[in-house]
Amino acid sequence: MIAPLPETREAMMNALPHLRAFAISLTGNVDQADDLVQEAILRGLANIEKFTPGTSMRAWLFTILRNQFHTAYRKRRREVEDPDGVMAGRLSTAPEQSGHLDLEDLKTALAKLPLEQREALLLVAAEGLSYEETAAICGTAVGTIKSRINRARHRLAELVGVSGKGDIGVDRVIKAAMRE
Amino acid sequence: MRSRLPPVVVGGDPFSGMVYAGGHRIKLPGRAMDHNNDRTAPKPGTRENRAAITRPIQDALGERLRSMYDDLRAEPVPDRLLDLLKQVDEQRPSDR
Repeated sequence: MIAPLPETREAMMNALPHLRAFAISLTGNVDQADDLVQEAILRGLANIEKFTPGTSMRAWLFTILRNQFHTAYRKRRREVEDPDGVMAGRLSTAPEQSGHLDLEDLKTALAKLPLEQREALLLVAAEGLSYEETAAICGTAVGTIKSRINRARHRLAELVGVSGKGDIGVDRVIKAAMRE
Repeated sequence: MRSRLPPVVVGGDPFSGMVYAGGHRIKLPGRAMDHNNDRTAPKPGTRENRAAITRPIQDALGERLRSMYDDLRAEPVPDRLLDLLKQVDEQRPSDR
């Protein structure tokens, strides 16, 4: 293995909190997330000669991590009937209609999104990557990413119970936002 | 003027419950068409809520999502991950 240049190492170091936030949001499980990040860093180091200097290390590592997770996810999909259900069940209870949108509601809802929608939403709406970067990371077209995000947003609103009829939902989510 | 009916073309916005049939926009009774086999396609029975999702809701949800994510990003990175990169640094020969 070729040892990376100090600036490469620093770029990897800087990417760590981002990779971790993405992995935790994606899997809903801190241990699994840290394993994914570890694997992504090790693979990145082992393949560092494939990294194009001057491009985004963060995006490159996101691609590696995302691909790993998909491989593991596909494997699990063959093993269990409903990976989304398993994951959702592991995460939390159903959202309560408690008059505010709390963090647990959001995490539960996020876990119920189909994987393709979840990752696209996280990369664009949370991580702040462009549609183009996200499309490259997910190996698909920009239009597909836009469509997945659109579906994800609607589904998320349904799942946290703010998309219902009329003002109650609006009121609830605005209150939640104001509590920040 | 066409002498026979054109073929039915199904398409359009998957959220709206509308389909284009022979160029005319028609409202389907009951559940929406099964659009494709994309795993991320919307599930039936949820579309009636879609119209109610307004900009303020989207903005508030987006803000909440970012806030959750920012909190995660602010967490200290575990040593076992930092060590992966520290070890590499030590392995690198010091001569240049």
